[in-house]
Amino acid sequence: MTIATSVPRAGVRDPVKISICGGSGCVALGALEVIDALKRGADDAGTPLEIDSRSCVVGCRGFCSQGPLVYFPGLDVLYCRVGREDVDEILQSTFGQLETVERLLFSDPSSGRRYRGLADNPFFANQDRQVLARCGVVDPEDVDHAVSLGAYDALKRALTDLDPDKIIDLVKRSGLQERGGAGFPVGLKWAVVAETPGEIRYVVGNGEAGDPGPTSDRTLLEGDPHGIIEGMAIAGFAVGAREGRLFLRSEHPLAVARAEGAVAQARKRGFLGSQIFGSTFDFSIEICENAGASMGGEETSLLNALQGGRGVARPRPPFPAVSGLWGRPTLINGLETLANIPLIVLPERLGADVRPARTKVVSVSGAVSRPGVAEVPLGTSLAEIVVELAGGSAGDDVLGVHLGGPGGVSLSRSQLDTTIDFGSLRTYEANLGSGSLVVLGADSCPVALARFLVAFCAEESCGTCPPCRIGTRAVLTLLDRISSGEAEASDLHRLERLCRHIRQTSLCELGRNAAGSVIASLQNFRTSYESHLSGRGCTTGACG
Amino acid sequence: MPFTGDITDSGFFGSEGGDGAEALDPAVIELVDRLQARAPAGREGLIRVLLALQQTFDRVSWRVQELVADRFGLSPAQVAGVVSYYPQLSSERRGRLKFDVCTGTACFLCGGEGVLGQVTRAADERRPVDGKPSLAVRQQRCLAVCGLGPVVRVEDRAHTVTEAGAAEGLVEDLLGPSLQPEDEF
Repeated sequence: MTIATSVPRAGVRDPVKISICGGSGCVALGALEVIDALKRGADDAGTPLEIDSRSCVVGCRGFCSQGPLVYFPGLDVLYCRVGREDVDEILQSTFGQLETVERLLFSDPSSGRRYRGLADNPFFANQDRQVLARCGVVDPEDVDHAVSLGAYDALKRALTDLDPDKIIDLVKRSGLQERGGAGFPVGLKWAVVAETPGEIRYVVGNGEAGDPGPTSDRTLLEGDPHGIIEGMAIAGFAVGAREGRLFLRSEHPLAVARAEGAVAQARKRGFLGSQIFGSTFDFSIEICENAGASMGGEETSLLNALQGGRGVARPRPPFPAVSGLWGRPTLINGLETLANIPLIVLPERLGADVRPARTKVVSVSGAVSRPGVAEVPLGTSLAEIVVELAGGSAGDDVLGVHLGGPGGVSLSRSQLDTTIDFGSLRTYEANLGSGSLVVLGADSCPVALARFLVAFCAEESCGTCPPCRIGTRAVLTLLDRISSGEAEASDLHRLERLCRHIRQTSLCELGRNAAGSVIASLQNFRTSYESHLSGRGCTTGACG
Repeated sequence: MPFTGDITDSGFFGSEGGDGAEALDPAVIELVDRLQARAPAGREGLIRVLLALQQTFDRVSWRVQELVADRFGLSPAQVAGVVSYYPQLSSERRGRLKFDVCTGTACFLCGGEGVLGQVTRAADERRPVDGKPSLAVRQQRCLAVCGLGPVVRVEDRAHTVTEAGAAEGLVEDLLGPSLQPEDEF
């Protein structure tokens, strides 16, 4: 919500602007009630507020645990956990006298220190927001506002100054790798789709991260849906597709609603539809909701779901780039990947000497004092993220970090110098996955976590291939034995052998990554597994 | 957008003992046709239509599945295969009052698994004798307020349930005298 007071006051020329986060987290914590109370309170006080944006929200800032968030951009003051009861004081102090309400400033639970705004808050100050640049700034329900902040400039450039080959070349040269999964080179995938013969091609935005944790996709959709739509349209132009599908989680209804609204507005403004920007390029986007079975965001199961069937995996090859939706060449990219595309086509938006495609959106949770969704440069170490950005510890009170969701890996405290980039993580057979990063406190149990994540994968398994369908259940049984203290040393060997077999023989990444996750957990937390053996059970109590 | 008119999908067979001969409410037929017209063309629109029907009726009954199959040119078994596969679709009622328990990784580490058990037990204890649930306890993969975990969401508001018994207390609050299940069904 962007509100400007029209009341002139001494020494202040510009109206005091305020923005209220309208992301899922803040709404669930009562942001809409705060907005109502603010409007009513202003009316009651005879201080009419001018809403200078069409709708009443800005998108998610990623600092969800502190919501509802109320921010004053001109003053750089961020109020956290604001309730209806705080509105009168905000109106009187901050609007009326430009005074800060100290008790509403973010108070770091670990240090007790209060932070005034975004500039001094390490959660924001340690970020490099490129794809998230407009999240928390732009009104996601107002295309005009997005356009005023640069949305669709890159699409215009692509259609008027570039040709498909040049765009694919730009993407290749940028070094952009798929931001979810194993980091496949994006330009290469685009080239395969473009070169595969066929009159009809599709672009699919994969918004199903398949992670039982916080997702960057939701933040992007709720905060800046036009960035994703623009990326899809550019991708469509580059690979020769006229139709796109945006595949979203129905569990995130606000994100779906924002995406639907943004597509409708983009169509109305001519950024989607026929002869976009006066060119011969036509492109449309359909929103498709997933009904819950994600298969870890696996591409071929996504295609079956899009076709109205059961979301089960297909054998590969053929790969979707050659034979995807309805047997046509199909480009499937994650939403964060697509949001990078306008920045590659129009890098000037980032400023001089800033190279695009050099960041990763991560969602940090667990044993930290500043959890949330943030964007960091590739090459940032896990320790920097945990300690400096999220306010956690790298000392004895932290056991390690689990990276990348259910198919990711748990790394121990001694491995926190690992950097967030595709090469470093491959050393540990890890991938960035959905970008989730869960910090394990000293009282966390790696066995319980492994069991939780395998249970998720077993539940998500489509059942097509026996290694995944039966294997993940067998792994779960072994982990149950270990958790309850009934296992023997030989069970650890059986577990490892079984996981290696599943990893080698599963049809898709869901089974492979679930098994890989257990192997990594066994390797990095062997002592903890051994301490569960022969009647000793779990020392943390987490295994129940 | 769920349909909010005064129609029912009663007249189904199967789980509630009908023989399948009853006619569907014409408004249901009209609704399905309207949803199909708004959905992507062909079979691509199937899941969207089913999700909308689930949201409207709290289930997709067998009879409605037959109707949907007819409209999409599929066999009832094909539609039933889709409904039974996806966790957010169901041929049985789950309860109109939604109680979401976050089972994301961060909430799990804070004890979210225990909360799910507490809420499920509390809801089961209050289930009416005819088997129709009053409360739909849903596992959600993430409610987006990590850091406040373990978290539940009741009717669009998030609550932290760190205190023992807090989750049961919320169920108790919801299913008080003013919200008896028979009033809902």
